[in-house]
Amino acid sequence: MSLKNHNHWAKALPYLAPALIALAVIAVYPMFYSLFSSMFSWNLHQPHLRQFVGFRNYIDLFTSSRFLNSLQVTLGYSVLSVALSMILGFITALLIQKPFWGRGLVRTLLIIPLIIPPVVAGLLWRVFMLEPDLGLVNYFLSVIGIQGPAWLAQSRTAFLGIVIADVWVYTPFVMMIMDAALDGVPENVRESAFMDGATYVQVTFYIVLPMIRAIAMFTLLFRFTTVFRMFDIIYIMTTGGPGFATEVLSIFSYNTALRMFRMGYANASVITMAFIISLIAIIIIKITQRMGGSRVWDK
Amino acid sequence: MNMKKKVLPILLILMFAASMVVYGARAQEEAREEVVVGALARQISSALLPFLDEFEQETGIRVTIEQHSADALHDKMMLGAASKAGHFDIVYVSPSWFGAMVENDYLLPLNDYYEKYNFDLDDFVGASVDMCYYEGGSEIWAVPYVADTKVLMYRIDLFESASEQQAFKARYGYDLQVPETTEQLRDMAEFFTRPDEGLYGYGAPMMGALNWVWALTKIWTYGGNIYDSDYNVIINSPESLKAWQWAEQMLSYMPAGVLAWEYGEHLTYMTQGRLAMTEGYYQFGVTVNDPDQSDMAGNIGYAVLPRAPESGFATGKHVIGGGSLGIPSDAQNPDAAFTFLNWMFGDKDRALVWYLNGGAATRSSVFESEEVLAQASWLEDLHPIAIRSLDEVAVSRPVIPEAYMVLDAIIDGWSSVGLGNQTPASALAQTEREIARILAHRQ
Repeated sequence: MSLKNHNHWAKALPYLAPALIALAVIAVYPMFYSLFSSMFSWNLHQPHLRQFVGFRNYIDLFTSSRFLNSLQVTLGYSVLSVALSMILGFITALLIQKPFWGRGLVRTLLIIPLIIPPVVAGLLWRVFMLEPDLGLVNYFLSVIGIQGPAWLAQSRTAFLGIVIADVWVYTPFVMMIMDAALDGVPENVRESAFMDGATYVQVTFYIVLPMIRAIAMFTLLFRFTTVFRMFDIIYIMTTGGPGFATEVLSIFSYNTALRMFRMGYANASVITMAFIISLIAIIIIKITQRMGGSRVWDK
Repeated sequence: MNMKKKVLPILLILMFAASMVVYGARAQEEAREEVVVGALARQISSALLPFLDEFEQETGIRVTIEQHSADALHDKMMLGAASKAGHFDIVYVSPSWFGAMVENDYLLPLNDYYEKYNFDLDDFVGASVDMCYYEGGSEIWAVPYVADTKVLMYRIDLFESASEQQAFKARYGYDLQVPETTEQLRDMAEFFTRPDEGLYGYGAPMMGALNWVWALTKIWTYGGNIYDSDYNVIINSPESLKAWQWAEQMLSYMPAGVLAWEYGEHLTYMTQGRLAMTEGYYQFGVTVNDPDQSDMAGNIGYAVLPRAPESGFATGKHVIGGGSLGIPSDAQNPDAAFTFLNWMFGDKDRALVWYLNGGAATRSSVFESEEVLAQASWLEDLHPIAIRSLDEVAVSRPVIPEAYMVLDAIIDGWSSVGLGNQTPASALAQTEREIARILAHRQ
């Protein structure tokens, strides 16, 4: 570090200190404490028997069929939910780009799922939409002659149910971001392409998408980190069941910490979860940078 | 000048010491007079508040009730007990924490206090007393506070209909009456299952933790258990197999979504007339005949849960819900704490007023009180069933510290049967292996 830079930091430090201290107390300390605690056999029922066990909790995690099931469920849920919400959000954003009568009202109605509290969204899907006898989904299926399943009472359909609920809640978020990004694409660029004989699909894939890729990747990153940590909607809808068919990592950690009180083991699962999220985030950032979208991340 | 310099610090030190002595004495005096109760943030806790002034006037002991959510109370209590912080003098003891609290010496045994105060348990229903003992031991660790268990609820119009009785007898060869055995219950559930009419024979919640409640209580009903007194795992027994085979059959007579039913759904179905029978906690039984809350008001009867034919029991079995009040081993004022417990819960009249304020019923005299029965006409039918169920049906859940892992193994096993992934026999074998692994250190 040059002398000039050193002086620069020395001058800035007093101003940065309060924020740095606050960050250290509310973010860095808990993270390191979790990491530290994950090395202990620590049951809240017997806190005085806390014992250092090194990486034993991590070994136990990766040999536990229940944890591996949670990991598999979480990954499947995340990939499916993010992919569907990204695709649907983008398509919806394209549809509302063109002016039409009542466009403002449609935009407002479309974002309603996003402003509903997650607990209410979970209840809404569990009771009013997916309930086998009283729910709207099975009612509409019966209208076209299909007998709907007991959605949340069977492994596969319960998994599908929580994906649908997540997509319903978060598609409007993707739509809003994409809508704003599409507004930033100059109209004359698209018009030039149309004049050159490009089709709507070609313009969308070869001109519009590359121009908004940085924002799209940022949305993708945000969605992944949100969905990977999802708890409330799933807990309300299934509590992780039937059996453990929808027990995502956050519910696994919750059960381990607050039902079994195995704090060290729970912290190990939380750290593992944070590690996976970070890994996914790094991959998405690297891909974005390679695609030439570094502007968003470097600033 | 030097002298002056020395006097000032000495005076300051003396003043500090004197203030510490005075403060310490006051703090000690205050500690002697106050009892802090760690309670759940529920109406039953708030219903105690009107009594506190009267108790303080009579005894000079001030009682403070801190209300917390279950998780917050558990964490505060466990961490406090481990560090001997001595914050609480009385704590709510959930069956889920009971084993850990007893095994780690976080609770005081109360036998001497019971004797000293002549605290009489005769009037209390059996289930509420069972919750105060640990694993069949002779030491009593708590005072009864809240207790509940399930009763059978059935549609009176269906059971009393002449045409239904005739059709049932023609099909099964015996009279349609309130079921006394699990086999009769299964026949009647089958008989009344008419999805085309929107009617199902039976319904019970099985979502999340309610899953083990269904699976384990049926094992108990058939005479099986998870482990014996030496913690040898015995869940994979002929009794358990019969229980889970019966339970699997019963799923055919329930609405398709029961594996995802929380507490509410079976009552909603029952009060809408979509179930012929269900099993529900006593407190829910109060609402199903309430005209303000039920389309079936006046049309729902109560009975004890039916017994399994070869179990040797007089009734079915179900888990006790609720909790008790104990005194932590680090309590600052254990004598004052029990004085309050005795004053509040050892007195029949006060227990009645507490119940009428929104408290819980754990005494037969409260269930049978004219004032209570006058609150609703259907309570005269419900309360005798409730008392019998709390005496004979209710069984304590596993309360050892590993209980949650054991119960999760049961959830895993029974779910695989409910989802059609395993037979009861293979699921029980798997469940036994998993529980044996969890309890291996106890051998």
